[in-house]
Amino acid sequence: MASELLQLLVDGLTIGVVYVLLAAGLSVIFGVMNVINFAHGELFALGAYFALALIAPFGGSAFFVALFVAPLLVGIIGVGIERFTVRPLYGRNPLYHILLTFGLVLVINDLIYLIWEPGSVTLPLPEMLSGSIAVLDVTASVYNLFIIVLGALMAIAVWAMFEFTKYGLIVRAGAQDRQMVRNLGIDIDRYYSLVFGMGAALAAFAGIILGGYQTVNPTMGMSVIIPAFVIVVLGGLGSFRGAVVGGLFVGLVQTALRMYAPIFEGTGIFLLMIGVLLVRPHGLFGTDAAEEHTGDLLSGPRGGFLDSQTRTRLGLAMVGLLALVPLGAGTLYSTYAVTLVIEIIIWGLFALSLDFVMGYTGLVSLGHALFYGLGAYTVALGLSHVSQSAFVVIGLAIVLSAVIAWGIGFLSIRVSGVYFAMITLGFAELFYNMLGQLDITGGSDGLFGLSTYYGLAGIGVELDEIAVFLGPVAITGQSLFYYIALSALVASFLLTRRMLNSPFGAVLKSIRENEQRATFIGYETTVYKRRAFVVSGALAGLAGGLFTLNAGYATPSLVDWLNSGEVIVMVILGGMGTLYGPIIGSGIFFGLEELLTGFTDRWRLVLGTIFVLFVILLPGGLVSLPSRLAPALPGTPGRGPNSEPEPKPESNPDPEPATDVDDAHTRGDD
Amino acid sequence: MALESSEPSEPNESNESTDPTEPSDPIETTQQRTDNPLLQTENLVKRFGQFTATDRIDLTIERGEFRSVIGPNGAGKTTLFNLITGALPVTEGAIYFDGADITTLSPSARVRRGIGRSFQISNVFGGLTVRENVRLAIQSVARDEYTAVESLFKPTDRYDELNDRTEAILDRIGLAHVAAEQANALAYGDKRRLEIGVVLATDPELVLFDEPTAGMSVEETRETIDLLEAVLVDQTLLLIEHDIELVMELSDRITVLNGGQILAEGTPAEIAANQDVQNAYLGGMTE
Amino acid sequence: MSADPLLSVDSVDAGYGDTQVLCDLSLSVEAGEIVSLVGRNGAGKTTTLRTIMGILQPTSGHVTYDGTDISALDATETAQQGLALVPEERRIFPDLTVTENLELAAHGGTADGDSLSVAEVLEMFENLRERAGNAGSSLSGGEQQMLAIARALVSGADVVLLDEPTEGLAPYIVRDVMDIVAALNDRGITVLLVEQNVQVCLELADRNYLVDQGQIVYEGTAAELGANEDVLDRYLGVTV
Repeated sequence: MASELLQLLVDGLTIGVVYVLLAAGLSVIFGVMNVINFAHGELFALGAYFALALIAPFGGSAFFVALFVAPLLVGIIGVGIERFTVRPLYGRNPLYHILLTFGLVLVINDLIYLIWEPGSVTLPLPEMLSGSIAVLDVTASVYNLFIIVLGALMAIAVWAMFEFTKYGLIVRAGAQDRQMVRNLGIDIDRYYSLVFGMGAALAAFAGIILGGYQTVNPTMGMSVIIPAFVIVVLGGLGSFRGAVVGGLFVGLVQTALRMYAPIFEGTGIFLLMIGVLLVRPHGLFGTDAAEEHTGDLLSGPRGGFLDSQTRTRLGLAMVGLLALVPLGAGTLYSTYAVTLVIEIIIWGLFALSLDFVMGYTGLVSLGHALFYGLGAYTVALGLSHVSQSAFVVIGLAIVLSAVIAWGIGFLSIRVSGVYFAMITLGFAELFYNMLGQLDITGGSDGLFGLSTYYGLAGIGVELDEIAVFLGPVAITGQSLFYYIALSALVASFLLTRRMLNSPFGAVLKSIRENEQRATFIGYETTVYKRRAFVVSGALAGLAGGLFTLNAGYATPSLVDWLNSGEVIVMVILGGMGTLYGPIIGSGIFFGLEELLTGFTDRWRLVLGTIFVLFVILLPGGLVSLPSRLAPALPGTPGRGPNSEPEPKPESNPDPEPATDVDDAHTRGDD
Repeated sequence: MALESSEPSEPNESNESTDPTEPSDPIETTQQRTDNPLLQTENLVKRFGQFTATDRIDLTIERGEFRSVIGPNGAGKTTLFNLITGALPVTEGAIYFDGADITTLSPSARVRRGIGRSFQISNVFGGLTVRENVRLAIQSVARDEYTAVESLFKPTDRYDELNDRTEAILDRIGLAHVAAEQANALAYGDKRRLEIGVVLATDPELVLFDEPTAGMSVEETRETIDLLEAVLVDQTLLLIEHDIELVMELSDRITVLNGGQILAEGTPAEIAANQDVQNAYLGGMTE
Repeated sequence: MSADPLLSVDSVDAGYGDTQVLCDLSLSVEAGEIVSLVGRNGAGKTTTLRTIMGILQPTSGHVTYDGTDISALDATETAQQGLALVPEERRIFPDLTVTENLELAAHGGTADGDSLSVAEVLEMFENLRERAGNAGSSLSGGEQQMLAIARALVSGADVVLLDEPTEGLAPYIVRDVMDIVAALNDRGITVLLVEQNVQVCLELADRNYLVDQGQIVYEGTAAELGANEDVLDRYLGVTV
């Protein structure tokens, strides 16, 4: 028993130390710069690959050299990333960093595929680190102990640097009050690059030691980034202590679960995170100081370049054009076009659902794929167990998604900003892991081989059985579904637009404008946000349900966090807070993907680069393009993208600084 | 109150004529209403860490009163306001509004009970039109008049009654001519009017003003005060103000805070004659 | 006093977004003076300090320090020139100790080497010395104010911009803060003081500016201002 616990301790600490190193950089980068760095996992992977490249010519004994040279190189890359991509975005809402670093994930990950082998590789280790030693009854591999000791030393060194050096003092102060550091005559911006570079180096270091323990592979970054975020959120964003405690804790808990309760291995840490956030909304060691009000989300078309009549006409023309697509399939172009546009339509609906909650209430849901997957699985399970009717199962998908959205909203809307994003991500990952584990959902294979008929109570058809002839053109199965999806999209758009013009929508807009004021004219804003979240969840469920109806399967990969990220990308790409922008965003996203895959295998590299450039150059989305291009035209107030984050006008008299409500202070000037 | 005047119903008369069996009812209600002060705080305490910002305050405001709260910087005026409106939770003590304990109610629930709060100029919904600003406030108070389906799906411009009330408020605050403009685009004084209009539209019994004339010239201050007095005739007002002269002229009663406690309370004349107040306002320099 | 003033603000316009707060504001401060800015809430006093400091850039006009135009400098560069802002909210770093707050300030500011060391400053401020190892967040309001001023001292500033240093403090602590400001001045540090407490200004300042609506509407010595009941009454709503 004792030896088993000791074994657990060794294994848990090995992973824990890796997590600590990974999370420390992530947390400090957020604390000091307010940047949520999704690319952190890729820098971790890059570390392992650099080490691989450095060791290869010389053999295992070069490991020790690589252990320090590779992080240095990755650190330099980190500095470059900060200088050229992150820096132009300071002062903007952290959401833009999510988009930016999401783009960087694609770029770096694809570069890894471009340069190295796609499979798993073993990192050669020096001889002195192989083998194992037996202490009492426990045999621990030398490498494990090496990791624990070295990782602990590294963490202590980082801690000491923060605690005792001038650099550390400035960084800590910067995490508390950036402007005051500037007021003291310290150029804090200069330190940002160093912080980012150091975080990247730590991640690389962690990547190398984990690469030596397991293997080096291109997905290693993706697989650690989510646990790393859980740790950061658990410990409290911006808290180094939180990262250390959280990292070791999660390492041990994961190992213990694997040994004693394997069913919870995937879900355990997410349950833990959600539980902690519900009790302590700012994590174990976080303070609300870490979350300061930064720039607003740029939503809406900003100035309405086109009048509403023109927009309506354009919209109608678009729908008309889309309605024509299946007619040319098989003759003018391949039937694949229909498949592609169905995908655009379904994802357009998914993006629209996210926009309803993100663009109109400012709640950034980082786990929206949860509802998409929920809709898909409800349809899949409904078809096998409840009814073969498409209408019944779609109805179920909508209702169940709405109910779950209410529940998640009830638990999470009390936490705000980045924490809300993280808790929704946690719920989605929880669901993802559950799907892979439960028998009823078909485990990691998912559910497939589903058939549907379109009708009720036994009266209806299977789409494959019918064909509609319009003169020479036959509209069959896939094309018929196309019209169903298009109708669902148009109906959802009209429905949400109608809602936004209702009193309910007016309240949502008022929350976006000024939540505090909305409260003081008598609205329980959390109730309204929750309702918006329910509508959004229901529509996302519809989108997911449509996917499964068409594809005939549902797999856990539908709930992958990358999908949640991609849908955010589409919303921002098209333009937030417009409802139609995200649909355009979906079109652009898949259009680009399609176009690029035709040209190059490295399309994700190009796509990622486009996102990065996009978020830096055109943060208001494509719908803001006309008014950006024509600032001189009348009726287009050229509101630039750089909303001033700092100034608080003096006309906001608050003579008692200790007593002001934080919100009253910071919201006063927007 | 403006809302009721624009409505055709005459509750008092109809009550008396249709309910002859209970002729004393309305009178009894009024009796009760005058018995309860509109707002009362009991032993109200707010601490931030070791710092006590509000220290056992017992404040009683009668219906229809114009009360001002003055005091040197840091005396706890804004904290007191935040406690009354619910922006901050109290540490100890209780707040009663119209006889009911509201100590733990949320800010929005207090608004619906009739406590309105005016903010500084910039605190309107800048990206919405003037009309939308007012209508949001009207809609907030009237939300029980509509079904859930209506409030989710019926376009706002089809609520005739709400829109009539909105226009009535717009007329009253003199902004009907700019109703379709974005609030951000309004001139300084008009924003001020809109701010007051939004508060008025929530149909409050008690309105709290936090330095409504801060940063204004003497003339603008005058105009703002005239507007307040003209528009908010039926409301009970609670005002924080730095300008002692203004306070002396307008208030029925004045409460002077110092160090989180009530230093003095009385009519303007009584306050003017109070030596403690004189000292406190000069920062205690004479001690 | 015929030489150029140490700090001068000439016809400055500044504001936030669409809102203009300062309109053609001008003032000057001679080396070694204590000058006060008084006025009602929202008059533009804090905005004036923020504009001088470079947190806010003037939309027109100039800020000149020691013969150099510093209008375009940001806060960091302005601090490096030898100006220090002690903001209204004090902005002590809550999780740093008193000593760390001071050490941090010592890393900033000017590099000209005439600044006091952390130890020397702790020597001056008895109550801070006692709490040197305590976190900033555990200090009382008065102690925070002392620390905020002490930070300016270790940064080696020649001009200190003090924003409402006595705000929210008990009367006997107000007295301490005033003594400290006077002591700063005795060390040759020039002070530009924003205060709502007129009494403090009248006692401390060599000259007083009255700000209203983003402009200077009155300038005078303490004696002149104190005797001018009309101005005090009209712009400040107080009678001394």
